[in-house]
This record gives sequence, C-alpha cells and structure tokens, in this order.
Amino acid sequence: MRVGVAQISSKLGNIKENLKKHIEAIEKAKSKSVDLLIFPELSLTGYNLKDLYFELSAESTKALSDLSSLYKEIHMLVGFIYEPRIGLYYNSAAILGEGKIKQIYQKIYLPTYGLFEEERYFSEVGPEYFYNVKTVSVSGVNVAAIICEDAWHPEPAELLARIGADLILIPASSPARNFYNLVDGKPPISLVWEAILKTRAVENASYVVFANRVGPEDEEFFWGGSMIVSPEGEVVASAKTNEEDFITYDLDLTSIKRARRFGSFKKHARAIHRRLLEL
Amino acid sequence: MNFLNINEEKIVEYLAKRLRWYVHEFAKKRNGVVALSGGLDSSVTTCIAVRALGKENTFVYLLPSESTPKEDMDDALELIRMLEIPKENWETIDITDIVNLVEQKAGKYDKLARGNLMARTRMIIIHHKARIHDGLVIGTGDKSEILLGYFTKYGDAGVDVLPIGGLYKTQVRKIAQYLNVPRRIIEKPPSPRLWPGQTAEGELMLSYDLIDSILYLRFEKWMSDEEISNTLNLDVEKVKMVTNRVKETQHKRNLPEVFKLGFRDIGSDWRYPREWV
Repeated sequence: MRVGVAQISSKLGNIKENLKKHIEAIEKAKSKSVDLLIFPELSLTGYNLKDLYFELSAESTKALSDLSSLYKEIHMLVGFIYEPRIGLYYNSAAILGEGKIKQIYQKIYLPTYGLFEEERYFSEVGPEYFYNVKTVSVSGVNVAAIICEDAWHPEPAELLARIGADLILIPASSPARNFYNLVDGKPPISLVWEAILKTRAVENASYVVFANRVGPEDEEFFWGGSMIVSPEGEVVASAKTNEEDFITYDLDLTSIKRARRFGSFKKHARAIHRRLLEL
Repeated sequence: MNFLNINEEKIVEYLAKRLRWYVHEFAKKRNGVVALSGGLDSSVTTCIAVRALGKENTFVYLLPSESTPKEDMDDALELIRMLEIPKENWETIDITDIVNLVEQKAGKYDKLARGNLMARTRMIIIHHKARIHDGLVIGTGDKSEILLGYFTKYGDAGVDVLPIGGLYKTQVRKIAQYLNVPRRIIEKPPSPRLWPGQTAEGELMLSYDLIDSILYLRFEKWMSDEEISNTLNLDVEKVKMVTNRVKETQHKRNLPEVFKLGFRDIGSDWRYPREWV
C-alpha cells in the first residue's frame, strides 16, 4: 500500500482556492499510484480562522462532498469543519473513497492555551464517539485518524490501535515558535513531534503518518516537516520544513509483524484504565 | 542567555520569505518602502527587504532633521551602496522645514513634542511614497522597543508590517553582523535621534543586554521580577523599572479603544484573521 502526504499551505478561509490545491495534489497522487493521500488538519479551510470558524462549515462540507464524488479511485483524508447539529462545530477529518465519505474523525483534545483557542469555537466529542469511531480498510490495511493535539496524549492513538488500526493518520496544524533556539535549523517543536510520533508508533506497533500544514496564517507560521514513522520507531519518510512538499511511502507490513512479535503490544493492562477512570 | 544563540542564517531566510509573501501575496503590492536612518534597526530591515523583494523592489528614504548627525547619513549611504540600491530607488528628504512649519502653524511645545512631530512627519512621507510606488511601508521597530513602548504612536509605529518586531535589540545586532552591515552602524549606541545626544540606553538607564534579558525572562519564561533579579544579579527595582514600562505603554501596542454599544463592536469579540476573503 502506498501512502502519500500532501503538505500544503492552505489559504486561510478561502475554500475555493484550497479545493484547487487539493485537486492538484490528488492528481499528483494519482500519477504516483498513491492508494491513500493524507492532507493536514482543516486542510479545506485553513487553521486559525477565529470567528470565521462559525461561517465555513457548509462550504467546507460541500467541498468535501465534491472531492468525494470527483475522485472515486483513490482514498484520502481531508480536513474540514463538521456541523452535525445546527451551530455545533467539530474540528474534523474524513476518509473519502469509492465515492463515499467513509468515516469522519473528530478532534478529541481541543487545545486552548497560548495562541490556541479551539474550545471557543469547537465542540468536544461526546462519549458515544469512542464507541462509534471505526477503522477504514484501504488496500487491505486498517486505517483510522486522530487530529494534531490528540497525539499529545496516549489514549486516542491507543483506542484506534485497539479497535484494529494498523495505520494511524495524524493530520496537524503545528505552528513554529521559539525560533531563537533552532535545532539543526529546525524549530524545537519538530523534535518534540518526532519523539511523540515515534512513541505513538512504537507503543501501538502501528505505522503513523503525520501530515502537517505549512505556511503563514496571520503572525503564525506552520513548519511542515511531515513524517511517516514505522512501527519499529524509524522515520521512514519526511517532508521539507517551511515549504510545500509531497511525499510517498510504500508500507512494509512485515515491519508491523516484527514490531508486534518483539514488543509488548499484545499486553493490555485493563486495570490501569479502570483506575484512570477514577482519577 | 540561550535566546542569544540564534541561527542568523535561518532567521534571515525565514523573515525574508515571510516578508515576500506578505508584500506580494497577502497585500498584493509590488514594492517595499523603508525609512533608513543609518541606525541598526532600519539598516537590518533594509537588508531583509532587499533579500525579500530584491533591490529593484525596495525603495529607501533618508529623512534627516536638524538633530540627525552627519555620520548617520554617511552610514545610510554606505549601506545603500553596499546593497546596490538603484539610484532611482532612494532619495534624501530633509524634514526640518516641514516640522518647523507645523510648529509655526500649530504651536511649539517641548523637545518631546518636536521629536514626535519628526517621527510623524516621516510617517506621512513614507506612506505617501508607498502610495506612489505601489508599496507597503516596512517598519523598522524591534521587539525591545515595541515592548518598552519606545516609539512614537502613529510615527515610527505607523507602518504596515514589522519584519524584525520579533527580534530583541541584541539579536538584531547579531543579525546585522551576519548581514555584513557596516561596523559603525552595529557599534553606535541605539538612538531615535529626536534631539541631540538622545540615546535609548541613557533614557532607560540600563544596557540593552540587560533590558533584553529582563524582557525575555519576564514575558517568555514567565519569571517574577524577584526571580529575574536573582538570576541576573540585578537590583529588583531596575527589573521593575523595565517591566513597569511594558505595562504602562500597553495602550501604545493596541488599537484605539471603542466603547461597547452594539451587540458586537470592534474590540474584544471582533476576532477575524487579517487574511479575510
């Protein structure tokens, strides 16, 4: 199975332009025989929309449907604003394929600190989400997604792995900060992300694909640097920092087998989770 | 202080990339317009503008007054030569007569009022030139000055974009070395030159090395005045002098207040991105 990451610079609030960017990337993916193409978080709308979050759900959902019916022969994960009930908005990403919206993933942890203020705009998922969330089979591989901040906690990825995901997709909009202390020319946050992605991949013995946004939005700048990490904790593909890029990688399913033979993925101490419920 | 170990090359590359996008793609303007004083900040900003937009798309104005030392203009000219700014892209306009005329018509007051008039006269000229050249006004303020409120409202702060507004003065000096800005510009004491003998460090009674460390530790590392005093081995009153100055000048960094009347007014709940199509 060949995965691709379209590390694009979405134009803030301009869904028409962003739809064009998606189509360009999908055409490129088709020419490279990609089976599953992953776009960053809120790829159709841009990230830091502030009060525009309230105005773009219908247009972004329409763009999502357009992509779904335009490209039936490729699977893709696309970010959009989901409004399942009037006036309740969810930071979401959908897997599209075969002319259908196969599964919608909603962001579980809404960052609200520093420059982030997602709780002002987005609703938190209810408990039913954790029962309804499903994997999607793409070219025989079970796939599911969590969004950006969700990766900074162990249990969202763990849930996906426990319900059967062998490939965990992480669309993100990670802005760069602290340019005063670049490490090998990269923002320090990229090293934190690399550590997190390796951890999520190894602890769940699954492939992890991190598709980060790139480019400016008001004062902020998203650093890109998308990565694919093997279940054995190796970065097997990475995109450029600070500019648009497109990467592909052919999954090696034996790597998943090896990681599960030589790791403790089979163990699952349920009592710990019961204890966590009480805390 | 680790914030001084900056990667100059990467920062310049990043700022130039962002400025290019801001002028050409966001604002859809062709050129950048800079007021060059011959001091550190405007020299570094001019270098970055040239990297971002090219020398053909950078317009540079020297706007001296009677309190501008001749060396500053010599230094500005040396930088223009170094950057090979085409001769139709730069000009010297002495503002003394304009400032005198305003004082004559509107009344003379004190040296600070005259200093503010100078900064605002420069602002008027630079925006006029930006209009003529289909350009954006590239501001030259640095982070230390912005945080201290060490600028004239609607004067040197009346600009479209502040490319080095995220760099402390001491970091700007390091960037200047990397950009091969003439040594005399890097070494001269920072001064707004609004009256003879004015220097920033003299007015603030602390070196920028210390000011920047205080600002960094207080506002980026969330340390208390007392913790900073211990860390820098500096009298806590000096630390407070800097942090109070930031608090007292907060109004200079905000848009003018609009008193709430409607359900929504411009202000706290008017949150739209700058890029709004």
